[in-house]
Amino acid sequence: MTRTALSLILVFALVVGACVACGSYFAYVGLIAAHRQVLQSRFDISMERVATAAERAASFGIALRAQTTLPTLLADEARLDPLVRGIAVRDERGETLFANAATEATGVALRRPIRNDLGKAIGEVSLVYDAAALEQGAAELRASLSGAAMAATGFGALCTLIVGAVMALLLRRALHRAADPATWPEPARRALADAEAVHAKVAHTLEGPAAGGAA
Amino acid sequence: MIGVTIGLRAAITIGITAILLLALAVVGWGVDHAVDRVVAPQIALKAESVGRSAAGLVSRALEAGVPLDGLVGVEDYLGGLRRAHGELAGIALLGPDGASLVTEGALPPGARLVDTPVVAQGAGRATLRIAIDPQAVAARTDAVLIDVGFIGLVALLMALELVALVIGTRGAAALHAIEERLRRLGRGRLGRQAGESALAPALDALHARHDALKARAKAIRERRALHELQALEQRTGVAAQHSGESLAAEAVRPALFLFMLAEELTRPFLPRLVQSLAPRDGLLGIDVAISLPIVIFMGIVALCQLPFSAWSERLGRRRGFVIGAALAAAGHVGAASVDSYVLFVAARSLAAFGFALVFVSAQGHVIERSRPQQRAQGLAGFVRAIMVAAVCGPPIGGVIADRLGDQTAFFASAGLAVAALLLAFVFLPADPGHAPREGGAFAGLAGAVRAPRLAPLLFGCAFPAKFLLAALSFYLLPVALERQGYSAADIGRLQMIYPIIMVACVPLFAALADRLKARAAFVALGGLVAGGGVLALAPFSAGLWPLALILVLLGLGQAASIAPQSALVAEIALAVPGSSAGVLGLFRLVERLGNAAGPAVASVMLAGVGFTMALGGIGAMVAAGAAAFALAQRQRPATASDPEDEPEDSAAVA
Repeated sequence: MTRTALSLILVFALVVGACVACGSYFAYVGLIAAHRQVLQSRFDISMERVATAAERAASFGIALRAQTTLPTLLADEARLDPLVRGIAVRDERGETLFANAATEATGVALRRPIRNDLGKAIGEVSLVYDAAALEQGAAELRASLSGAAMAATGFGALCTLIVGAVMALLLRRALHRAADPATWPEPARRALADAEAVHAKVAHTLEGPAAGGAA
Repeated sequence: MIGVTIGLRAAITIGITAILLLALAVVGWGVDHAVDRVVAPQIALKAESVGRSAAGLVSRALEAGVPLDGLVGVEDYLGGLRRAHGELAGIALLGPDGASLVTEGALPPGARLVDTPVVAQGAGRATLRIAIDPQAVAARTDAVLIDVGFIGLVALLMALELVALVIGTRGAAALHAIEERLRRLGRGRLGRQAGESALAPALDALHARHDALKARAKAIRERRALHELQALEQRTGVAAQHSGESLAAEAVRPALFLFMLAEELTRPFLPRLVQSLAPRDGLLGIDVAISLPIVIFMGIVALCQLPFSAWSERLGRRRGFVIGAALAAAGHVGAASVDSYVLFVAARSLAAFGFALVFVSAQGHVIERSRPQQRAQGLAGFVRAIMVAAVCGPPIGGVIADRLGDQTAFFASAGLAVAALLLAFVFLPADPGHAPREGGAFAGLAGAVRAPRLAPLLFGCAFPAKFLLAALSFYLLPVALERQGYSAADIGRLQMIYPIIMVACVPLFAALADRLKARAAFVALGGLVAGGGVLALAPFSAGLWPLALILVLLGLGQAASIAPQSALVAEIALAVPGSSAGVLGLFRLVERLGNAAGPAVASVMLAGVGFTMALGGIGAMVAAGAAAFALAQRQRPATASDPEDEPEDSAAVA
């Protein structure tokens, strides 16, 4: 019984630890998504401004390729944020028309379509930002959350062990009580006394007083 | 003693729930701390970026010779910026003396301020001041904490299912036997459980003596003694052999949970993956191509339900489950490995055959292995495993797909299906199988078609309900959100809403419908709430929150109607002698056909009339079906069956 209870407690502790660890990991993933969302919304401003300028010019009939003021705007927008690695305007076939940096700038790429007055995409603004910003955020989140996650996992597993051990002790005590009629609950003791009395009487009836010794 | 007073399993469940909640609260505290340390400063950096951008524009105007007090349109521009960035409480352009020239919004006291100098001709000429809305930072923290709350719920449900798995083992059964004996002693009952090991020598001696006396009394035909011994048995339970609680029906639950979890993992990212495989210039439009694997999967499950139930009976339930899980695992591996659309559809079809076989085998196991009085409870456990998998699967699948890729998520599904196979092999009792009853699964189907009152229920409510669920939750929702740029993890968390409401509200509405003797009214009301809600909210369905609200209404509507619907079907089945199994089979078939038709019709509507109209059209169809059912009911005398006559096939609610 003790071995069964102990192995069950260990399994439960493992289950609790694994589920808390799993919950912590998912929370970390959720935090990374929130961090990425806030970080990227910074770059929406620049992309929006470039796209709006291009769309306004397009609505006056100036083709995207002919919008020669765009490079200056791209350079200005790129200067505004040190994380921006490159910003470019591409046509609908993906050919780069204007760019403030090498078009193959490495990092995380964001896109915002440029549409004409009919809502049809005529090109896109592409912005590449430094992936290190995301990685740094992820590292900070990891550092910030790992302490709490480890504490929670350990706490969960330990509490399960303690609660399980207490329950096992109580069960063991109850088992000992069940083995000794003197410690049985009152209804059980009454039932036992009743049974022994009836057995003694029946034994006496069947075979005489010698057979009812157990009573 | 707690464990014995409230039951060992209940005590374990309550204890583990409390511990998990505390541990997850610690994680929540850590998340709160992390948001403050890492995410909130990003909001300040964003304000700085907005400030630099706006200050740059003003600088350019000043460089061009426009005087500071002659700037035009600044208020509109700053207003536009503030509206576009909800985290900003106010933006002001301050003159060199710090006096406000233009203020848009408010600069509340206590708000964090970000100042950006406006430089022209090499000198600072003004300041652009931005106030960060403290409520926005708190709202961001709250949003992450709500997310963590959902995650906590998933972790808790997973833990409880795993605990149920452990409790189903032989070791736990032994502890349960001890607990039962102690409980019986507390009630003054001296009976013992069949096959129970010796726990109390005094009790065993008493039983031995009782048996000996009884045998002796019988042998010498001493009637009075026999009568006294029998009276003693009545009073104290001595000599009674308790068969104990049957855990056989429960044995399938862990395996079924893992198997269903494997399929549910795929919900949030499946449309995205299919979209990446679908041929761009194929005969099918992209929307139909995305829906096709879902439609074929649901169609196979629907059409195989009846023949497979007979096959599973012949194979034996354990073998049926194992073969089905193996087929599904192979299907998941295939779906993860192929890069051709046609092969992907073939792999999903294989998984569908496996799914159908596992479903009918598990259901058959529960029905065959539970005693009649335990059957409803056994089927409730069966449904619970499916619903818990539906709650936990999508968010987990979404995270795996986002972090490790869609293919990896399919491999994870395959792993779970194999784990389910192993659990079924270990825990389900081996049975040789037997020939199905005469007529097989199709017995009584012809009679069922003619059953009175069945058609309005099936085609007004049952079919539309499943049609709406599959169209919205499995197809339109993931496709629409994916196109709006939401991640698979976001989609998965949203897909949790429906099963959570179902788990919480189905018993509530079922009890209410029985108490009010208004099952038909609840069925009609549920259809109207779900369909009408979708119809009413369809025009506002862009974004996460309106879709969440639509799912809430869908969940509430379905929760109100689903159990009364099953009960009504059971009533009708009882009224069709010789065809009651056929009525239940027809009901299941029509429901599953609704599941298959939903994504197919939704994809055609999405391609033809767009998301809003597709959603509104389907909502209108469901509401109209419910209204037609209600009208059909008005022409008949109200019926309210005895709540004891619960449908044997409550698993249909799944």
